[in-house]
Order: sequence, then structure tokens, then C-alpha cells
Amino acid sequence: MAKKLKEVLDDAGISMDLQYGGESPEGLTEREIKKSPHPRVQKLKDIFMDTLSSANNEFPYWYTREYMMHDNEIPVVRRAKALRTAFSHLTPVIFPGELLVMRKASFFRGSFPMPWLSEGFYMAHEDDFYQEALKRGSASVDEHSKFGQGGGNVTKSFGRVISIAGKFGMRQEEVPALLKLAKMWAGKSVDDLGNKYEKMVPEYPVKEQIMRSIVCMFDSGFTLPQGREVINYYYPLEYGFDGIIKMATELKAEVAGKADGDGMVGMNRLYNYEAVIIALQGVQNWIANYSKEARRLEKLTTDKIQKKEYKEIADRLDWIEHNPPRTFIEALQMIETIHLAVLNEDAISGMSPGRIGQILYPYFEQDIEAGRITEDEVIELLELDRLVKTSIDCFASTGVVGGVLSGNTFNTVSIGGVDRFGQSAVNRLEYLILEAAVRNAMPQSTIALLYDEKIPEDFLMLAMDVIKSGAGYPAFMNSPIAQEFLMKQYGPEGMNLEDARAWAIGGCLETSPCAWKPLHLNGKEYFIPGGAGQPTSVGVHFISMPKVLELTLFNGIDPRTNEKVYEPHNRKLTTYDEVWDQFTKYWQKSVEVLAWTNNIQHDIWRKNNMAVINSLLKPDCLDNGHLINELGYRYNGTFNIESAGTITLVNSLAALKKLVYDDKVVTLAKLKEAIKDNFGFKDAREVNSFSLADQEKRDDSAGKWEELHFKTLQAPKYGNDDKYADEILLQWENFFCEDSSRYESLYGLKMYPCQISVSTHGAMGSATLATPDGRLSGTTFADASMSAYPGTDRNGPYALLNSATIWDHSKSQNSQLNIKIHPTAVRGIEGSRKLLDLTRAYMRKGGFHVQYNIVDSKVLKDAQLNPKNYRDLMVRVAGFTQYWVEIGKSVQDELISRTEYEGV
Amino acid sequence: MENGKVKRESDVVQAPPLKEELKGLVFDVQGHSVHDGPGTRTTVFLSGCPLNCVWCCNPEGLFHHQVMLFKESKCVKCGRCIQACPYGAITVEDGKIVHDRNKCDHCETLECVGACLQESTDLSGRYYTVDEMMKIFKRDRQFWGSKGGVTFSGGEPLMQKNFMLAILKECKKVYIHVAVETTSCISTNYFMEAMDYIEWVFTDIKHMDPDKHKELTGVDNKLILKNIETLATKEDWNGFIVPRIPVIPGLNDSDENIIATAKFVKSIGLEVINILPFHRLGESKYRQLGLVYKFADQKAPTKESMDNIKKLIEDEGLVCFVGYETPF
Repeated sequence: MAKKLKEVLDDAGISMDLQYGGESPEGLTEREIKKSPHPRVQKLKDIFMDTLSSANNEFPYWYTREYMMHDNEIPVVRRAKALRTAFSHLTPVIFPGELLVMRKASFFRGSFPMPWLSEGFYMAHEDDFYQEALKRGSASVDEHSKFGQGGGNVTKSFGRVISIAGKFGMRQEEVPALLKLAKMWAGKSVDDLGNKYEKMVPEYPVKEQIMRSIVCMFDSGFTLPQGREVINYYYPLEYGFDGIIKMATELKAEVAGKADGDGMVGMNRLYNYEAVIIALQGVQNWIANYSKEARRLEKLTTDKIQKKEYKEIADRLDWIEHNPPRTFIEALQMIETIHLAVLNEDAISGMSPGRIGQILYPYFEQDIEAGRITEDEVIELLELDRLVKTSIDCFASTGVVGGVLSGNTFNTVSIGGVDRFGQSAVNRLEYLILEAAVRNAMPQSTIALLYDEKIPEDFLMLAMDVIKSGAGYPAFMNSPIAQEFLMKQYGPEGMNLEDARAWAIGGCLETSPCAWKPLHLNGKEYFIPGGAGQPTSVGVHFISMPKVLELTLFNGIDPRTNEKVYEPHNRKLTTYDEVWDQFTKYWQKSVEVLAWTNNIQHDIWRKNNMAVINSLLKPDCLDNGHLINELGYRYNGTFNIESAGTITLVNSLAALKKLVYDDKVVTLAKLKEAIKDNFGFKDAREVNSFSLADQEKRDDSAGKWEELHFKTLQAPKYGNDDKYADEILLQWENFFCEDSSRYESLYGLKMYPCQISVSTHGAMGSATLATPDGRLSGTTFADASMSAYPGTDRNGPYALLNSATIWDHSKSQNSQLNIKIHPTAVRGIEGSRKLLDLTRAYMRKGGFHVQYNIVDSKVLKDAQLNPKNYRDLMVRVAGFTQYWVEIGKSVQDELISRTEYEGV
Repeated sequence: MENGKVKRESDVVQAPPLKEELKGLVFDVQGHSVHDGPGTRTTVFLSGCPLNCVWCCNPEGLFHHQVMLFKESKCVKCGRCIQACPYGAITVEDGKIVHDRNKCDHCETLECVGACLQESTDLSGRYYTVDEMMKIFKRDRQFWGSKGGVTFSGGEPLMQKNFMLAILKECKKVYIHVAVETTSCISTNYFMEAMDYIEWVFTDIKHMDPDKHKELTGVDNKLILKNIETLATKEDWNGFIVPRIPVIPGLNDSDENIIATAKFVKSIGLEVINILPFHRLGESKYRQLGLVYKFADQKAPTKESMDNIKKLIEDEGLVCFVGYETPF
């Protein structure tokens, strides 16, 4: 008998009396409806939306003043003293309605420069130091990096406000002070001192050329020396600041004068503990100043409720200045304070809070049980936390902040994963984190869901719902694959499976080593996960793979500038294998010289500019008395090699192999000629679009390259389940993953591959001529590392996902796949289920990461034309969510042209 | 610049199949199809159809052989196709490329498709062997999730009998869930034989009046209704049937016809009707085929009209799903 509807619906888990998709599981209410934050949060959010990013000199002034006074002091103590003074002088600022207080600088949204890292780009153009920096090549990326022109970015000076680093506004009268401060660091900054010594690497001239030609984007040691890691809040939560100071004081007495078998750095423990105490005093002063400000405001305010809130803020701050937190709100305030303190210590992007729902769970559980807080109040606080995190700005050069980060700071929160025993780690608080992320949809914190088969189905469905709200998060990360990677990389440093399970995402999608620590609250013990490793995404930053291929084809000479980058190989390139072989040789040359020079920069950083606050938080610095610079962290093999343009390279090699070597339809010489002539097209900048689809033919081209260009576009492309192209990806991955471990970081540990593009595919594409795959000069590369080039994945998502999993993702720190889906394809509860099916299938096949943009391309096009109407439109870029208006044009164009999967 | 994108699996120019090879003409394969049955599916569109509905949105599916599609918006008038055509079927008139479709219809070699650098000249479909088809399903099934499978659509998916029976048997052998979107307008014996391998059936009831049905589709509805009834009442068939009404304003949306359809559906023991509002998304394909789309000005039914139809169906004691908002 034909099946009855009831049976079919029962199979689908739906009861008969509901006709249109059935009742949502718990927490899945108001589907596909945009939710609003609590009124308190909305008011503060309104302020955020109207606030421009500001910068001032308060912190650098006091830091520099104190630092310069102590040239007689041991570096770590000297640095701690400078930090203490700077923190103690930060002007507190509290906004009405805030419950979680403290800001990076004295603005709602803003930051400050750190000339001790690099002072060059603050200088006026005529300044000698600036000119020197320009010659070094580190400034050339600025020319290729574009900032979003809207939102909170101050990209142009106006009135008495000067635009600094393409993002911040600074009052005109502060600029001379900034220049004076910057000059005081000339020759002393990590940038300058590092450069002095990196020049002693015999291959240094190659590095200079590599940077000038944008084979590589950015030095590592002085740009964003820390970040892309998971912070650890454990010690202050367990012991409080007084507790840590007491501990450090006792340990100081214990180690004074003793080497304990370590003749190199054993003695340093004394100075390190001294530095810990000094730096924490600065943080305590900073908290106390905020408390004073809250009490001052309490007196001024007539509004009774606001008065009470100021008092409670002050009471909370007074408590956490000394003691471990007792309640959820105290713990959350403590976490915000620590987070901002670490971010103020160094130029950092990607300081991720980690598995915050599991860290705060003890307080949540006990408060709820005792009736001290309601779930609604928790959600409101979590909404406020998103506002705090989104208001954080990172101060670096235009090239770094615009070209790489798109202004994002990557305070990624991880949810899900497994506990110490391998069971699902999802708890009730993580459901509320997702709920708050829908209600207060803002770019930060971006959410990473650590996928494991054991995670409850309703939690995954709720995550799908959040994705459908259009904010781009959560992204899915494969927990077992990450654990495999961690065991391989950190096994030699003693990592066991238990620690591997503590992992979280640092930065946008960097697998980061973590550890469990026992937290005690009212006699109950909880094991909480937290960061236990050094920064990742340090070492060798983004190398442009298509550019290396271009240089391979053009005998080491950059055809765009006619400058020699590598020693000419003078090979005939008569076979595909010869091209591949030469490509790998140039690649290795680049990695080698960049590893050596960046090792020197980081070494200068660790000698004079080491982390004190971030270090003392991480296992096992307090235990062993060594900070980051003396390998005090539990895991130190975190330096990586970053690739960019993977799929553009794969497609280019596939086209070369097919057209020149297999089918012989064109000679290499002819193809190079076409590349130089951009296949008869205008330059992307002339067209002012960076998407391939918008490029225009030159009037004088007369169809000369038409047929060849067609053939390059028709050559096999990655993402179509076509082995011809996919096996080249496999060849690359096998080479890259093995090769990376040949290089050694300054900490004497082997490096590994990192495969994310962030926003470099825009800037690097801008400096690369046409490629053999038919991509035109100046246009963006394929984003991420597993996304197909826009428009070339023509056999649907299944073919793409099959192509992406041809290689073993656990050999790399990460991989990245962005998929754009039309909202109609995921409509309703069934749409959620089907999106989850797709995601789960990719994870089961061993894909590491996938994230979705649920957005209509037509909306994005309209937003480009009418940015004012789309101030709050958010999109997923490459590992992070950002306001559309704060993204540069090249990346906007790439987002629009990404293949859109519609429902059929 | 829309020209010259990567080849699709369906883009390869092929000679028509030799008689002894079992191949099916497929005009599209869509992975991650979310509206064509339970779960996420791969939908295969097969060419050829016994009906000729005046509003058809997949006109390329009406043909039993490969035809040439011409996308004028992509044409740069380079003249390559004119040179390539051995029959002189392509000319330029008033600055536009014009095809003499009478000549094209006999062409089996389609040189114009290979000559075009802009993908403005394209083939309507590709011949697949059973093995090629199964290879795609085996890849795709990793992504369907537990409820998904393959949906055969068209055209009329059951037209290419030998190919379809072969592929249905293969699917059953490897436990693939099969759905069809069928006209039910084929011989009852073959229809019932095919259904042994099919678990889910979307079947159109375009009109209850045989004469009206003939006027709209070229055939009357007797065989269709008979097949649906035979299947619905077959004791040992365990699949699920979703009758569908494509709602075309003015043609089949009268209260009388809707009620008659609902009564029929109820009388054979079924419980559901899925109503699909008319849309004009097929319009560009008519132009590409050099055909005139008579429904270019036809309006989609209003929401009120769809609501009314839904109510009429529900009043007959049936469940009504509107559009693709279904719980499966």
C-alpha cells in the first residue's frame, strides 16, 4: 500500500498535526527572523554604529617615558615597568548603560600606536626613516591594500582630525606628539633593530625583492607579533590577581640565585617573577581607576537605576582587582579586563577567548542553581560581550590592518568540541552564546563550532539557524582532524590526547594548542580549557603562490616591474615536471629566507618586547618561571608558513600542463606573451573592479588572444571532481605539508603549513599579472585555500567538496572553504537539516573547515552602490565576519562573484 | 566577461549514441537539490516528453535528441559559428545571428557549438552511460544525508525506457532512494514495472477534464489518472505519492477543477496535494531554442488565489502544501 503521509512525516521526525515544517526544537524559535538585542544593548550598539575609530597617545606616551628612564634595568623588568606606568595612566571611560566596563583606550572604539614595534609608518612622508622603510619594501603592500571606505574607518582626514594608518582618526594637535614619540624609537624599535640584524642573512637581498614584488605580504616580528592564539583566563579566575602576585612573590624567594641545572636561563626566573608582579600591579591600578570613575559617575547621576548600576560596577571592579570572581558577572568582567589588558600589551590581532562557554560554565551553573541570575540576564551580558569585542580595534599599518585583516580583530569564540574524556563538551551556556549571537549580530566574537560526531543534533540545528541569520557564523571546524594535526605537531613537546581535546581556534581559523586546568568554585572542581601555546600565524606570512609561479615562468624577473627577484634559473621548462620542480625551488628559497629573517625579528622582539601579561596567563609560565621568550609555554612549536592563492596556482598549473605540455596547443613562449599582454584586456585598476567577470577588453586587442584565453578558461579547474586538476592540488599539498617541517623557528622547533587567505587574495592578486588559468592581471585570487575560483565550480557543491577532500587535511594547521548559498536554498527547518547534512558530509570526508555566506548576490551589489543603506550588513570574508562597508573594494568584488548555490 | 567558463560535465560535445550502447540523454544534473523529495538529493533531468504543455518551463526537455541552445546575450558576433556550420544554417540579419532551425534540426554534428568561444552556442544535453550516472550518484550520496537520494525529472524521466530500467535496477542494488517527477503518461505495464524501484512519486494532475487536458498538454488524462490510481491502490507498493497541480491562472485554477482533483485524490486513498504556482523562469530557454514562449505575459497566481486553492483542497479533507514549503 502506498505509504501514508503520517509515516513519511514520522520518518522526518515531524508530528502529523503540523503541516508546515513542524515545531522547532528547543531554542529554535522565530526562525529566519532577525532578532533584536536587549534595549540596553541596542542603545550602546547605536553608539557603536555612529562611532569612528580613534587613536591617541596616552599609552605610548607613558610607556615611552617610563621605558626611557630605565636603561639600567634588565629588559623584562624594564618592559614590565613601562607597562605598569602606561596602564596606570589610561584614562577610564564608562558609557551609560554598560554593565561590562573597560576599554582599550579612552574611546568607545579605538586604539593607540606602539612605536616600539615599528615607528616608520607614523612618520611624515619626507622623514628619512619613512623613506628607508619604503625602500625596504615593507611599505609597498600599503599601495595594494584597500580599506573599506565606510563604517567606522577614518580613511581620510577631515576637519581637525588626521587619518592615521588608513583607519584611525587622531586629533590634529596630537600628531606632532606622535611623531616625536616615534622618533624616540628610531633605531630601537623591533622593526629597526630587527632590520639591522636580518641584513646579516646572506640571502637578505632576495627577501627585500620578495617583499617589494609582493611575493610575500608582511614581516612577522614587528607587525602583529602575538595573536592567532587562544588566551588563558585560568590563573586569575582561580587565584585572583592578589593570589598570583602572592604566588610570584613566594616563587621569587624560592628561585633567587638558583640556576636549578639550567645554566642558560635558569637564573632569569627571578627577574621574570619580578616582572609578573610589576605588570600585574599596572593592571590592578588600571582596574582601580575604572572603579574610581564608576564611583564618580555614581555621584553625578540622578537616575536611580543608573546610580545603582555604577555602584555595582565599582563594587565588582574593587573585588576583581584583588580576588577571584564569585559569580557569572564577576567572572565575565574579569575576562573582559584580562582580554583588554593582553591586547594593550602588544600589537595583537586574533587573541581568541577560546571555549568561553565551557570556561564560564561553573559560574553559570552555580548562579542559575542559586537563583542569582536568569538565563535572560545571561543572554543580555553575552550580547554586551559581543559589543565589547566588536569595539576592539587593532592598530598597525594600512597594509596589515586593511590588506590582511580587513579591520577585523578575530576574537573568535569556540563552541562544541569534546571534553577531557572525549564526550561532547556542549553545555547549556553554549546554547545561550548562540542565542546572543543571533540577537546581537555583530562581527565579534566570530564563532567556531568544533565539530564532532558526538555533538547533540539540536545544538547543530541551532547553529544552522544562526548561520541562516546571515551573520556568517558559526564556521564549522573538524575537531578530530584538528586533534590529529595537534598530536603530530606537538607530540614531540609532550602533547597527549587529553590536551589535544582541549584545542580551540585562535584567530580566524588557526588550530591552537590548549590545555585543561582545574578550577575550583565553592568546593566543586571543574576542568576548563584554555590556551597553552605561543602565537600561531607567525613566522612566514602569506606567500603568493601564483606570483612564485609567475617568477618561475619569467626566469626570476618580476615582469610587472622588471626587477630581479630570484636568481634566474635559465631552464628551458620543456616539461611540466621541470616547471613544477623549478616552482618548488623558488618556493623553498622564499620560505627559507623569510624564515631566517623573520626569526631574527622575532628574536629581537623576545629580547626587548616579550609578552609579560599574556605569558603569565599561559600554562606553564608561572610554574616554571619562564615567559614566552624562554619557552615557558607548554607548546612552543607554533610558527607556521602561510600560503595564499592555492587554487589560482592549482588551476594555473593545470592549464599549463594541459595546454602547453599535454595537448601542445600553445607554446610556453606564446602563453607568456599573452600573460604579459593580459590576454588583450585592460588592467583591473583601470576598470575599477577586481572581479574577473567585470574585466573589459582593450580596444586595440583585436581578438588576438581570444581563442587562447578561451582555452585557458576551459582548461581543467579545481572544484569539479576532475582528477586532472585535483591531483595537482594533491601534489601541492603533499609537497607543502612535508616541506614546511624542514624549516625551524627561532625556538628550534619545526614549522607547519597554514592555509588561510584572510584578505591577502585581494592585495596579492592586485600585484600579479594574468595567470595561465585565464585569471586577468590585478584581479583577486581564489579566496581561502579550498574555495573554487569564482564561477569555475560548475558541477555543484558535491563535486567541489569531493575535490577539496582529495588530500589529508590533518597534515596542515587548517584549510579553508567558503561557500555562498542563496537564502532560498536553506529556507525552513528542512533547509536547516539539508545544510547540516552537507556540512556533516564534508566533515566526515575529512574536510577541516567550511563556512557559509547565506546572502543574495543582488543584495551585495546594491550594497556596493548604496553603502549608506547597509551599515549593518555583515558578510563572511575568509575566516571571519565583517561589516560590508568596512571591507576594501577588491574583496567586496570577490565576494559578489563567488559562485552562489541556489536551491533547485 | 561571461565567456569561456570551465566545462561542465554536461558540456562535452558528443556524437549521438550508437544503438547497441545503452545511454540516456540528460539535460541537467543538479547536486544538492533541496526541493525534489525527502532530504538533500541529486536531481537528473532526462530529455523527451509525451506531453507538450503550453506553459512548459523546461522546453529543452521536450526533445528526444540533442538540440542547440543559442544565448544571444553572450554572442559577440565573431562569426566563427557561421564558418563552422556545414549546412549554411547560420546567417546575419540586421546585425543579429539567425539560425535556420529547419536545417539545425537535422544536424547531428553541431560544429557551431565547438566553434563558439563565448559559450553562446551550447548543447541541450549530454548522453550518459549507466556507469557514468552511477559514478556521480556514488560520489554525491556521501553528501545527501540519511534521507536523500536521486530524483529523476525531465521531460518525462520514464521516456527512455531501457536506460531508465537499467539505472533504476542499479540504484536499487546499491540502496539509493529514488524519487521521480513524472507525468504518469506512459503505458501502465511499464509504469508499474518502473515503480518497483521507486519509493517516491511526484505526479502532475494538470486538469481533471480530459478534453481540457488535451487542449493544454496535447494528450487526454485517462492514462494518467489510471496509472496514478493503479499505483495508489497497489497492495504491495510501499512508496509515497505526492500529486501536484501546477497552478496556471485561467487554465486550471477554477474552483471546480481544484475540487474535482481533490475528490479524485481522496477517492484513491491519497492524502496530499502539492500546488505549485506558475512561474516564467523558462522563458529564456525558449528564446535559446529559437521558439516563441506564448506565456511570456502570463501572470503568476496571486497569494490570495493560492490560499483559496489550498482552502478548497483542505475542505476536501486533504493536506495541501504550497510551493516548495514542504516538510520533507
